[in-house]
Amino acid sequence: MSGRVSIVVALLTAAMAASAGAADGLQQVATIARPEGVQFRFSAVAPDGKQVTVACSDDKLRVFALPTGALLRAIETGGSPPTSLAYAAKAPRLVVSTRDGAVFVFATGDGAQVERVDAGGQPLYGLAVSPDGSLFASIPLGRPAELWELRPARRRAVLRTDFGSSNAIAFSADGTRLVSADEDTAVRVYDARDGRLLTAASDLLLETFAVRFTADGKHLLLGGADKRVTVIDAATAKVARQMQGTHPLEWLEPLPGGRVLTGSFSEESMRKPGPTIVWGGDGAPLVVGSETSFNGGGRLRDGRVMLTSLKDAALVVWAVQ
Amino acid sequence: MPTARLSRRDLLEKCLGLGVVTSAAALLPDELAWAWAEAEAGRHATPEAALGPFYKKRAPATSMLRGAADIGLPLSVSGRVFDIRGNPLTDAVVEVWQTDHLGHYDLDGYRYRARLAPAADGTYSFESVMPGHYPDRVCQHIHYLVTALGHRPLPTQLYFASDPVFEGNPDKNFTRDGLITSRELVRPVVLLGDPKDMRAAVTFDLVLDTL
Repeated sequence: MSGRVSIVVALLTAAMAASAGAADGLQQVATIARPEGVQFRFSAVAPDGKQVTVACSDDKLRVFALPTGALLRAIETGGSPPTSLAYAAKAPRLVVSTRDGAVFVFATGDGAQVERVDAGGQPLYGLAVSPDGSLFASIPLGRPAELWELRPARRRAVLRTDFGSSNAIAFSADGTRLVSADEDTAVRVYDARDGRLLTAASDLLLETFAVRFTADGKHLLLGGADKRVTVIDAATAKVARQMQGTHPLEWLEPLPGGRVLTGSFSEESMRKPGPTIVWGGDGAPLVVGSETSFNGGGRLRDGRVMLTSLKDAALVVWAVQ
Repeated sequence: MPTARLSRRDLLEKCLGLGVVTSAAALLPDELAWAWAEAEAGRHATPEAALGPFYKKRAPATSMLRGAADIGLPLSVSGRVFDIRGNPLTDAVVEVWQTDHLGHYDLDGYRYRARLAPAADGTYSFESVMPGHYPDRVCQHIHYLVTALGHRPLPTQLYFASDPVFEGNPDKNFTRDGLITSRELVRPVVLLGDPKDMRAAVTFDLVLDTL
Protein backbone atom coordinates (compact mmCIF):
# COMPACT_ATOMS: atom_id res chain seq x y z
CA MET A 1 0.00 0.00 0.00
CA SER A 2 1.47 3.39 -0.95
CA GLY A 3 2.01 6.10 1.65
CA ARG A 4 -0.71 8.25 0.14
CA VAL A 5 -3.17 5.39 0.11
CA SER A 6 -2.28 4.53 3.73
CA ILE A 7 -3.03 8.10 4.79
CA VAL A 8 -6.37 8.08 3.00
CA VAL A 9 -7.36 4.73 4.52
CA ALA A 10 -6.40 6.02 7.97
CA LEU A 11 -8.46 9.17 7.44
CA LEU A 12 -11.39 7.11 6.24
CA THR A 13 -11.20 4.73 9.18
CA ALA A 14 -11.10 7.66 11.59
CA ALA A 15 -14.00 9.38 9.85
CA MET A 16 -16.06 6.20 9.99
CA ALA A 17 -15.39 5.79 13.67
CA ALA A 18 -16.39 9.39 14.32
CA SER A 19 -19.67 9.16 12.49
CA ALA A 20 -20.67 5.54 12.95
CA GLY A 21 -24.41 5.20 12.52
CA ALA A 22 -24.92 8.88 11.84
CA ALA A 23 -26.14 10.58 8.71
CA ASP A 24 -24.15 13.82 8.99
CA GLY A 25 -24.12 15.60 5.67
CA LEU A 26 -27.57 14.36 4.73
CA GLN A 27 -30.70 16.41 5.33
CA GLN A 28 -34.04 14.64 5.50
CA VAL A 29 -36.41 16.20 2.97
CA ALA A 30 -39.48 14.00 3.19
CA THR A 31 -40.84 10.78 4.60
CA ILE A 32 -43.43 9.00 2.49
CA ALA A 33 -45.62 6.33 4.05
CA ARG A 34 -46.17 3.26 1.95
CA PRO A 35 -49.68 2.54 0.71
CA GLU A 36 -51.37 -0.29 2.57
CA GLY A 37 -50.32 -3.74 1.40
CA VAL A 38 -47.53 -2.42 -0.83
CA GLN A 39 -43.76 -2.42 -0.37
CA PHE A 40 -41.46 0.21 -1.85
CA ARG A 41 -38.60 -1.25 -3.89
CA PHE A 42 -36.51 1.42 -5.68
CA SER A 43 -37.01 5.03 -6.71
CA ALA A 44 -35.89 7.96 -8.84
CA VAL A 45 -36.11 11.65 -7.94
CA ALA A 46 -37.05 14.05 -10.77
CA PRO A 47 -34.43 16.65 -11.86
CA ASP A 48 -36.67 19.50 -10.61
CA GLY A 49 -36.75 17.90 -7.16
CA LYS A 50 -40.54 18.14 -7.08
CA GLN A 51 -41.45 14.48 -7.42
CA VAL A 52 -40.18 11.01 -6.74
CA THR A 53 -41.29 7.90 -8.60
CA VAL A 54 -41.23 4.63 -6.69
CA ALA A 55 -41.39 1.10 -8.10
CA CYS A 56 -43.68 -0.87 -5.82
CA SER A 57 -44.19 -4.54 -4.99
CA ASP A 58 -47.51 -4.63 -6.89
CA ASP A 59 -45.52 -3.82 -10.08
CA LYS A 60 -46.98 -0.31 -10.29
CA LEU A 61 -45.08 2.96 -10.22
CA ARG A 62 -46.30 5.55 -7.76
CA VAL A 63 -45.41 9.21 -8.14
CA PHE A 64 -45.27 11.33 -5.01
CA ALA A 65 -44.92 15.11 -4.66
CA LEU A 66 -41.89 16.46 -2.83
CA PRO A 67 -41.62 17.55 -0.11
CA THR A 68 -45.27 16.92 0.83
CA GLY A 69 -45.28 13.20 0.03
CA ALA A 70 -48.73 13.46 -1.51
CA LEU A 71 -49.55 10.68 -3.97
CA LEU A 72 -49.87 12.26 -7.42
CA ARG A 73 -50.63 9.18 -9.51
CA ALA A 74 -50.02 5.50 -10.09
CA ILE A 75 -48.59 4.32 -13.41
CA GLU A 76 -48.74 0.84 -14.93
CA THR A 77 -46.21 -0.74 -17.28
CA GLY A 78 -48.33 -3.26 -19.14
CA GLY A 79 -48.28 -5.79 -16.34
CA SER A 80 -44.54 -6.38 -16.51
CA PRO A 81 -42.53 -5.51 -13.39
CA PRO A 82 -40.39 -2.36 -13.70
CA THR A 83 -36.66 -3.07 -13.44
CA SER A 84 -35.09 0.41 -13.80
CA LEU A 85 -36.16 4.06 -13.68
CA ALA A 86 -34.47 7.12 -15.18
CA TYR A 87 -35.53 10.74 -15.62
CA ALA A 88 -34.27 12.77 -18.57
CA ALA A 89 -32.17 15.63 -17.16
CA LYS A 90 -33.48 18.35 -19.47
CA ALA A 91 -36.80 16.98 -20.77
CA PRO A 92 -40.05 16.23 -18.95
CA ARG A 93 -39.73 12.48 -19.43
CA LEU A 94 -39.58 9.46 -17.15
CA VAL A 95 -38.19 6.31 -18.78
CA VAL A 96 -38.88 2.87 -17.34
CA SER A 97 -37.55 -0.55 -18.32
CA THR A 98 -39.34 -3.78 -17.54
CA ARG A 99 -38.69 -7.45 -17.06
CA ASP A 100 -40.22 -8.37 -20.42
CA GLY A 101 -37.76 -6.11 -22.27
CA ALA A 102 -40.03 -3.15 -22.93
CA VAL A 103 -39.12 0.48 -22.35
CA PHE A 104 -41.90 2.95 -21.50
CA VAL A 105 -41.67 6.73 -21.69
CA PHE A 106 -44.06 8.82 -19.60
CA ALA A 107 -44.65 12.57 -19.45
CA THR A 108 -43.65 13.80 -16.01
CA GLY A 109 -46.42 16.42 -15.96
CA ASP A 110 -49.42 14.12 -16.09
CA GLY A 111 -47.97 10.60 -16.26
CA ALA A 112 -49.32 10.02 -19.78
CA GLN A 113 -47.59 7.26 -21.74
CA VAL A 114 -45.62 8.80 -24.61
CA GLU A 115 -43.82 5.77 -26.04
CA ARG A 116 -43.52 2.04 -25.63
CA VAL A 117 -40.48 0.37 -27.22
CA ASP A 118 -39.92 -3.36 -27.48
CA ALA A 119 -36.20 -3.36 -26.74
CA GLY A 120 -35.39 -6.95 -27.58
CA GLY A 121 -37.49 -9.12 -25.31
CA GLN A 122 -34.80 -9.93 -22.74
CA PRO A 123 -35.25 -8.65 -19.18
CA LEU A 124 -33.57 -5.24 -18.91
CA TYR A 125 -31.19 -4.78 -16.03
CA GLY A 126 -29.94 -1.22 -16.46
CA LEU A 127 -31.12 1.98 -18.11
CA ALA A 128 -29.80 5.46 -18.92
CA VAL A 129 -31.56 8.24 -20.81
CA SER A 130 -29.94 11.11 -22.70
CA PRO A 131 -30.51 14.60 -21.25
CA ASP A 132 -32.93 15.60 -24.02
CA GLY A 133 -34.83 12.32 -23.76
CA SER A 134 -34.24 11.33 -27.38
CA LEU A 135 -31.96 8.33 -26.70
CA PHE A 136 -31.75 5.60 -24.15
CA ALA A 137 -29.25 2.88 -23.38
CA SER A 138 -30.31 -0.37 -21.80
CA ILE A 139 -28.58 -3.51 -20.50
CA PRO A 140 -30.33 -6.75 -21.43
CA LEU A 141 -29.67 -9.30 -18.71
CA GLY A 142 -26.49 -11.22 -19.54
CA ARG A 143 -25.71 -9.20 -22.67
CA PRO A 144 -23.78 -6.03 -23.50
CA ALA A 145 -25.55 -2.69 -23.40
CA GLU A 146 -27.52 -1.36 -26.36
CA LEU A 147 -28.07 2.19 -27.62
CA TRP A 148 -31.57 3.10 -28.84
CA GLU A 149 -33.31 6.13 -30.26
CA LEU A 150 -36.87 6.71 -29.19
CA ARG A 151 -38.65 8.33 -32.12
CA PRO A 152 -38.82 6.42 -34.33
CA ALA A 153 -37.92 3.53 -32.07
CA ARG A 154 -34.73 2.04 -33.49
CA ARG A 155 -31.71 0.27 -32.09
CA ARG A 156 -28.69 2.36 -32.99
CA ALA A 157 -25.94 0.05 -31.78
CA VAL A 158 -25.16 -3.04 -29.76
CA LEU A 159 -22.13 -2.21 -27.69
CA ARG A 160 -19.26 -4.66 -27.45
CA THR A 161 -17.60 -6.58 -24.67
CA ASP A 162 -14.92 -9.24 -24.83
CA PHE A 163 -17.20 -11.39 -22.69
CA GLY A 164 -20.09 -10.94 -20.35
CA SER A 165 -22.58 -8.15 -19.88
CA SER A 166 -22.40 -4.50 -18.83
CA ASN A 167 -22.66 -3.32 -15.24
CA ALA A 168 -23.45 0.38 -15.68
CA ILE A 169 -24.10 2.97 -18.36
CA ALA A 170 -24.31 6.77 -18.41
CA PHE A 171 -24.62 9.63 -20.90
CA SER A 172 -22.47 12.75 -20.83
CA ALA A 173 -24.22 15.96 -19.79
CA ASP A 174 -24.36 17.15 -23.41
CA GLY A 175 -25.73 13.81 -24.58
CA THR A 176 -23.04 13.25 -27.21
CA ARG A 177 -21.25 10.37 -25.52
CA LEU A 178 -22.19 7.18 -23.71
CA VAL A 179 -19.99 5.24 -21.31
CA SER A 180 -20.38 1.62 -20.32
CA ALA A 181 -18.65 -0.25 -17.49
CA ASP A 182 -18.49 -3.87 -18.53
CA GLU A 183 -18.07 -7.23 -16.83
CA ASP A 184 -14.83 -7.86 -18.76
CA THR A 185 -13.49 -5.02 -16.52
CA ALA A 186 -13.16 -2.50 -19.38
CA VAL A 187 -14.80 0.92 -19.40
CA ARG A 188 -15.71 2.05 -22.91
CA VAL A 189 -16.72 5.47 -24.23
CA TYR A 190 -18.92 5.66 -27.35
CA ASP A 191 -20.18 8.35 -29.68
CA ALA A 192 -23.89 8.44 -28.87
CA ARG A 193 -24.71 9.48 -32.44
CA ASP A 194 -23.63 6.23 -34.03
CA GLY A 195 -22.37 3.93 -31.29
CA ARG A 196 -18.77 4.23 -32.49
CA LEU A 197 -16.16 3.32 -29.88
CA LEU A 198 -14.13 6.42 -28.99
CA THR A 199 -11.82 5.13 -26.28
CA ALA A 200 -11.54 2.38 -23.69
CA ALA A 201 -9.87 1.86 -20.33
CA SER A 202 -8.96 -1.80 -20.67
CA ASP A 203 -6.25 -2.17 -18.05
CA LEU A 204 -8.53 -2.20 -15.02
CA LEU A 205 -8.13 -5.42 -13.04
CA LEU A 206 -11.51 -5.63 -11.31
CA GLU A 207 -15.05 -4.86 -12.40
CA THR A 208 -16.37 -1.32 -12.32
CA PHE A 209 -19.90 -1.18 -10.92
CA ALA A 210 -20.60 2.56 -11.27
CA VAL A 211 -19.56 5.15 -13.84
CA ARG A 212 -20.38 8.81 -14.44
CA PHE A 213 -19.10 11.66 -16.59
CA THR A 214 -18.11 14.77 -14.67
CA ALA A 215 -20.32 17.78 -15.35
CA ASP A 216 -17.83 19.27 -17.81
CA GLY A 217 -17.50 15.94 -19.61
CA LYS A 218 -13.72 15.94 -19.38
CA HIS A 219 -13.38 13.06 -16.94
CA LEU A 220 -15.03 9.82 -15.95
CA LEU A 221 -15.56 8.75 -12.36
CA LEU A 222 -15.33 5.01 -11.76
CA GLY A 223 -16.06 2.92 -8.69
CA GLY A 224 -16.13 -0.83 -8.22
CA ALA A 225 -14.62 -3.92 -6.70
CA ASP A 226 -11.18 -2.30 -6.29
CA LYS A 227 -12.67 -0.03 -3.56
CA ARG A 228 -11.31 3.08 -5.26
CA VAL A 229 -12.73 6.16 -6.88
CA THR A 230 -10.79 6.36 -10.11
CA VAL A 231 -10.84 9.55 -12.17
CA ILE A 232 -9.86 9.00 -15.79
CA ASP A 233 -9.52 11.33 -18.75
CA ALA A 234 -12.64 10.77 -20.89
CA ALA A 235 -10.72 11.37 -24.12
CA THR A 236 -7.61 9.28 -23.50
CA ALA A 237 -8.80 6.86 -20.79
CA LYS A 238 -5.64 7.63 -18.80
CA VAL A 239 -5.94 7.54 -15.01
CA ALA A 240 -5.77 11.07 -13.61
CA ARG A 241 -6.36 10.37 -9.92
CA GLN A 242 -7.40 7.66 -7.48
CA MET A 243 -8.88 7.74 -3.99
CA GLN A 244 -8.66 4.52 -2.01
CA GLY A 245 -11.63 3.43 0.06
CA THR A 246 -12.18 0.40 2.26
CA HIS A 247 -15.28 -1.19 0.68
CA PRO A 248 -16.31 -2.13 -2.87
CA LEU A 249 -18.11 0.84 -4.42
CA GLU A 250 -21.62 0.24 -5.72
CA TRP A 251 -22.64 3.70 -6.95
CA LEU A 252 -21.24 7.20 -7.23
CA GLU A 253 -22.24 10.68 -8.25
CA PRO A 254 -20.23 13.85 -8.95
CA LEU A 255 -21.01 16.77 -6.64
CA PRO A 256 -20.31 20.48 -7.11
CA GLY A 257 -16.80 21.63 -6.23
CA GLY A 258 -15.05 18.55 -7.56
CA ARG A 259 -16.45 16.38 -4.78
CA VAL A 260 -17.69 12.82 -5.33
CA LEU A 261 -20.44 10.97 -3.48
CA THR A 262 -20.01 7.20 -3.25
CA GLY A 263 -22.03 4.31 -1.85
CA SER A 264 -20.52 0.93 -1.01
CA PHE A 265 -21.31 -2.53 0.22
CA SER A 266 -19.69 -4.89 2.68
CA GLU A 267 -17.31 -7.58 1.47
CA GLU A 268 -19.31 -9.97 3.65
CA SER A 269 -22.49 -9.36 1.69
CA MET A 270 -23.50 -7.19 -1.22
CA ARG A 271 -26.81 -6.63 0.56
CA LYS A 272 -25.10 -5.12 3.60
CA PRO A 273 -24.33 -1.43 3.09
CA GLY A 274 -20.87 -0.01 3.60
CA PRO A 275 -20.11 3.64 4.24
CA THR A 276 -21.58 6.43 2.12
CA ILE A 277 -18.81 8.97 1.59
CA VAL A 278 -18.36 12.46 0.22
CA TRP A 279 -14.82 12.70 -1.17
CA GLY A 280 -13.61 16.29 -1.04
CA GLY A 281 -11.88 18.01 -3.90
CA ASP A 282 -8.62 17.27 -2.07
CA GLY A 283 -9.50 13.57 -1.81
CA ALA A 284 -10.34 13.67 1.90
CA PRO A 285 -13.23 11.35 2.79
CA LEU A 286 -16.23 12.44 4.87
CA VAL A 287 -18.54 9.62 5.90
CA VAL A 288 -22.15 10.80 5.63
CA GLY A 289 -23.82 7.48 6.34
CA SER A 290 -22.51 4.17 7.57
CA GLU A 291 -25.51 1.90 7.96
CA THR A 292 -27.99 3.26 5.46
CA SER A 293 -28.87 1.31 2.34
CA PHE A 294 -29.97 3.76 -0.32
CA ASN A 295 -32.38 2.50 -2.95
CA GLY A 296 -32.46 5.40 -5.40
CA GLY A 297 -32.21 9.13 -5.82
CA GLY A 298 -31.54 11.71 -8.47
CA ARG A 299 -29.36 14.54 -9.67
CA LEU A 300 -31.13 17.89 -9.67
CA ARG A 301 -30.62 20.49 -12.40
CA ASP A 302 -28.75 22.73 -9.96
CA GLY A 303 -26.18 19.98 -9.36
CA ARG A 304 -27.48 18.88 -5.98
CA VAL A 305 -28.06 15.19 -5.35
CA MET A 306 -30.92 13.55 -3.50
CA LEU A 307 -31.01 10.00 -2.14
CA THR A 308 -33.78 7.74 -0.95
CA SER A 309 -33.77 4.97 1.63
CA LEU A 310 -36.29 2.81 3.44
CA LYS A 311 -37.02 3.17 7.13
CA ASP A 312 -39.78 1.14 8.76
CA ALA A 313 -41.11 0.50 5.23
CA ALA A 314 -41.50 4.25 4.58
CA LEU A 315 -39.47 6.02 1.89
CA VAL A 316 -37.12 8.66 3.29
CA VAL A 317 -35.84 11.31 0.88
CA TRP A 318 -32.49 12.94 1.69
CA ALA A 319 -30.63 15.94 0.27
CA VAL A 320 -26.85 15.68 0.21
CA GLN A 321 -25.28 18.75 1.80
CA MET B 1 -26.71 8.11 -7.00
CA PRO B 2 -27.84 4.61 -6.15
CA THR B 3 -29.10 3.12 -9.38
CA ALA B 4 -32.86 3.05 -9.44
CA ARG B 5 -33.23 -0.56 -10.38
CA LEU B 6 -33.45 -4.12 -9.16
CA SER B 7 -30.13 -5.73 -8.35
CA ARG B 8 -28.90 -8.01 -11.12
CA ARG B 9 -28.94 -10.94 -8.73
CA ASP B 10 -32.57 -10.29 -7.81
CA LEU B 11 -33.55 -9.93 -11.44
CA LEU B 12 -31.64 -13.03 -12.53
CA GLU B 13 -33.15 -15.13 -9.75
CA LYS B 14 -36.67 -13.95 -10.57
CA CYS B 15 -36.17 -14.53 -14.28
CA LEU B 16 -34.64 -17.98 -13.89
CA GLY B 17 -37.46 -18.91 -11.57
CA LEU B 18 -40.03 -17.86 -14.12
CA GLY B 19 -38.16 -19.20 -17.12
CA VAL B 20 -37.94 -15.72 -18.61
CA VAL B 21 -34.25 -15.89 -19.48
CA THR B 22 -33.54 -17.74 -22.70
CA SER B 23 -30.12 -19.14 -23.46
CA ALA B 24 -30.67 -19.42 -27.21
CA ALA B 25 -32.95 -17.91 -29.80
CA ALA B 26 -35.73 -20.07 -31.18
CA LEU B 27 -34.40 -22.51 -33.74
CA LEU B 28 -35.75 -23.03 -37.23
CA PRO B 29 -36.46 -26.64 -38.32
CA ASP B 30 -33.27 -26.99 -40.36
CA GLU B 31 -31.26 -25.53 -37.48
CA LEU B 32 -32.91 -28.01 -35.17
CA ALA B 33 -31.88 -30.84 -37.48
CA TRP B 34 -28.33 -29.51 -37.55
CA ALA B 35 -28.24 -29.15 -33.79
CA TRP B 36 -29.52 -32.72 -33.43
CA ALA B 37 -26.81 -34.05 -35.75
CA GLU B 38 -24.20 -32.06 -33.87
CA ALA B 39 -25.35 -33.46 -30.57
CA GLU B 40 -25.15 -36.97 -31.97
CA ALA B 41 -21.65 -36.43 -33.33
CA GLY B 42 -20.06 -34.39 -30.57
CA ARG B 43 -20.88 -32.61 -27.36
CA HIS B 44 -23.13 -29.80 -26.31
CA ALA B 45 -21.71 -26.59 -24.93
CA THR B 46 -21.37 -26.29 -21.17
CA PRO B 47 -24.21 -24.17 -19.77
CA GLU B 48 -23.28 -20.60 -19.00
CA ALA B 49 -23.67 -19.05 -15.56
CA ALA B 50 -23.21 -15.56 -14.16
CA LEU B 51 -19.66 -14.25 -14.43
CA GLY B 52 -19.34 -11.90 -11.57
CA PRO B 53 -19.13 -9.68 -9.79
CA PHE B 54 -15.60 -10.39 -8.54
CA TYR B 55 -13.73 -11.48 -11.65
CA LYS B 56 -10.16 -10.18 -11.66
CA LYS B 57 -7.87 -10.02 -14.65
CA ARG B 58 -4.26 -11.22 -14.78
CA ALA B 59 -4.58 -14.08 -12.33
CA PRO B 60 -1.33 -16.00 -11.82
CA ALA B 61 -0.56 -19.04 -13.95
CA THR B 62 -0.57 -21.69 -11.25
CA SER B 63 -2.38 -24.92 -10.54
CA MET B 64 -1.80 -24.69 -6.78
CA LEU B 65 -4.36 -22.32 -5.30
CA ARG B 66 -4.10 -23.82 -1.83
CA GLY B 67 -1.40 -22.50 0.47
CA ALA B 68 0.53 -24.89 2.70
CA ALA B 69 -1.05 -23.48 5.86
CA ASP B 70 -4.56 -23.01 4.47
CA ILE B 71 -7.38 -24.63 6.38
CA GLY B 72 -10.47 -26.08 4.76
CA LEU B 73 -11.16 -29.35 2.97
CA PRO B 74 -8.47 -29.86 0.30
CA LEU B 75 -10.04 -30.04 -3.15
CA SER B 76 -8.67 -31.37 -6.44
CA VAL B 77 -10.50 -30.27 -9.59
CA SER B 78 -9.72 -31.71 -12.99
CA GLY B 79 -11.31 -32.03 -16.39
CA ARG B 80 -10.85 -31.55 -20.11
CA VAL B 81 -11.65 -28.69 -22.43
CA PHE B 82 -13.35 -29.58 -25.72
CA ASP B 83 -15.01 -27.98 -28.69
CA ILE B 84 -18.49 -29.17 -29.57
CA ARG B 85 -17.09 -31.78 -31.97
CA GLY B 86 -15.24 -33.38 -29.09
CA ASN B 87 -11.76 -32.17 -30.07
CA PRO B 88 -9.52 -31.09 -27.18
CA LEU B 89 -8.98 -27.32 -27.08
CA THR B 90 -5.31 -27.07 -26.26
CA ASP B 91 -5.10 -23.33 -26.81
CA ALA B 92 -7.87 -22.53 -24.33
CA VAL B 93 -7.32 -20.39 -21.27
CA VAL B 94 -9.19 -21.49 -18.14
CA GLU B 95 -9.54 -18.82 -15.46
CA VAL B 96 -10.91 -19.90 -12.08
CA TRP B 97 -11.70 -17.95 -8.93
CA GLN B 98 -13.48 -18.78 -5.69
CA THR B 99 -13.82 -17.83 -2.05
CA ASP B 100 -11.70 -19.27 0.71
CA HIS B 101 -13.27 -21.87 2.99
CA LEU B 102 -14.97 -19.08 4.96
CA GLY B 103 -16.69 -17.57 1.93
CA HIS B 104 -14.42 -14.57 1.36
CA TYR B 105 -13.19 -13.45 -2.07
CA ASP B 106 -9.77 -11.85 -2.19
CA LEU B 107 -10.23 -8.49 -3.93
CA ASP B 108 -6.87 -7.08 -2.89
CA GLY B 109 -4.69 -9.90 -4.19
CA TYR B 110 -5.01 -13.18 -6.07
CA ARG B 111 -5.71 -15.80 -3.40
CA TYR B 112 -7.83 -18.59 -4.88
CA ARG B 113 -7.52 -17.19 -8.37
CA ALA B 114 -5.61 -18.82 -11.22
CA ARG B 115 -5.15 -19.00 -14.96
CA LEU B 116 -4.66 -22.51 -16.38
CA ALA B 117 -3.46 -23.77 -19.75
CA PRO B 118 -4.80 -27.19 -20.78
CA ALA B 119 -2.31 -29.91 -21.74
CA ALA B 120 -2.04 -31.39 -25.22
CA ASP B 121 -4.98 -33.71 -24.58
CA GLY B 122 -7.12 -30.82 -23.26
CA THR B 123 -6.78 -31.77 -19.60
CA TYR B 124 -6.55 -29.19 -16.84
CA SER B 125 -6.36 -29.52 -13.07
CA PHE B 126 -5.86 -27.44 -9.96
CA GLU B 127 -5.54 -27.87 -6.21
CA SER B 128 -7.64 -25.73 -3.91
CA VAL B 129 -9.95 -25.94 -0.90
CA MET B 130 -13.69 -26.44 -0.84
CA PRO B 131 -15.10 -22.89 -1.12
CA GLY B 132 -17.23 -21.62 1.73
CA HIS B 133 -20.80 -20.45 1.86
CA TYR B 134 -21.48 -16.72 2.13
CA PRO B 135 -24.64 -14.72 2.75
CA ASP B 136 -25.39 -13.68 -0.84
CA ARG B 137 -25.18 -17.15 -2.32
CA VAL B 138 -26.93 -20.33 -1.37
CA CYS B 139 -24.37 -22.81 -2.70
CA GLN B 140 -20.61 -23.33 -2.69
CA HIS B 141 -19.22 -22.68 -6.15
CA ILE B 142 -16.14 -22.02 -8.27
CA HIS B 143 -16.27 -19.45 -11.07
CA TYR B 144 -14.86 -20.27 -14.51
CA LEU B 145 -14.12 -18.14 -17.53
CA VAL B 146 -12.89 -20.22 -20.47
CA THR B 147 -11.70 -18.58 -23.66
CA ALA B 148 -10.24 -19.95 -26.89
CA LEU B 149 -9.71 -18.46 -30.33
CA GLY B 150 -12.71 -18.93 -32.59
CA HIS B 151 -14.95 -19.96 -29.72
CA ARG B 152 -17.60 -18.26 -27.69
CA PRO B 153 -16.21 -17.24 -24.25
CA LEU B 154 -17.72 -19.44 -21.55
CA PRO B 155 -18.48 -17.95 -18.13
CA THR B 156 -19.80 -20.72 -15.92
CA GLN B 157 -19.78 -22.06 -12.38
CA LEU B 158 -18.98 -25.43 -10.80
CA TYR B 159 -21.19 -26.66 -7.95
CA PHE B 160 -20.75 -29.63 -5.62
CA ALA B 161 -23.26 -32.44 -5.18
CA SER B 162 -21.99 -32.75 -1.60
CA ASP B 163 -23.19 -29.23 -0.74
CA PRO B 164 -25.38 -29.53 2.38
CA VAL B 165 -27.91 -27.28 0.69
CA PHE B 166 -28.87 -30.15 -1.63
CA GLU B 167 -29.54 -32.51 1.29
CA GLY B 168 -28.09 -35.39 -0.69
CA ASN B 169 -30.49 -34.91 -3.60
CA PRO B 170 -29.15 -32.37 -6.11
CA ASP B 171 -31.56 -33.64 -8.78
CA LYS B 172 -34.44 -32.41 -6.68
CA ASN B 173 -32.84 -29.55 -4.79
CA PHE B 174 -30.44 -27.79 -7.18
CA THR B 175 -33.03 -25.07 -7.74
CA ARG B 176 -32.60 -23.97 -4.13
CA ASP B 177 -29.86 -21.70 -5.47
CA GLY B 178 -31.71 -19.44 -7.89
CA LEU B 179 -28.50 -18.78 -9.83
CA ILE B 180 -27.82 -22.41 -10.82
CA THR B 181 -28.71 -22.44 -14.49
CA SER B 182 -28.43 -26.21 -15.04
CA ARG B 183 -28.31 -29.43 -13.01
CA GLU B 184 -25.37 -30.35 -15.24
CA LEU B 185 -23.16 -27.87 -13.38
CA VAL B 186 -23.58 -29.74 -10.07
CA ARG B 187 -20.79 -32.30 -10.09
CA PRO B 188 -20.28 -35.46 -8.03
CA VAL B 189 -17.68 -35.21 -5.26
CA VAL B 190 -15.39 -38.12 -4.43
CA LEU B 191 -13.85 -38.18 -0.97
CA LEU B 192 -10.34 -39.66 -0.89
CA GLY B 193 -7.87 -40.56 1.86
CA ASP B 194 -8.47 -41.61 5.42
CA PRO B 195 -10.66 -39.72 7.88
CA LYS B 196 -7.64 -37.86 9.32
CA ASP B 197 -6.38 -36.71 5.93
CA MET B 198 -9.39 -36.41 3.70
CA ARG B 199 -9.61 -34.53 0.45
CA ALA B 200 -12.30 -34.07 -2.16
CA ALA B 201 -11.98 -34.60 -5.90
CA VAL B 202 -14.26 -33.32 -8.65
CA THR B 203 -14.23 -33.70 -12.42
CA PHE B 204 -15.63 -30.89 -14.54
CA ASP B 205 -15.34 -31.04 -18.34
CA LEU B 206 -15.82 -27.84 -20.31
CA VAL B 207 -17.20 -27.60 -23.85
CA LEU B 208 -16.98 -24.36 -25.81
CA ASP B 209 -19.31 -23.44 -28.63
CA THR B 210 -17.96 -22.02 -31.87
CA LEU B 211 -18.36 -18.32 -32.59
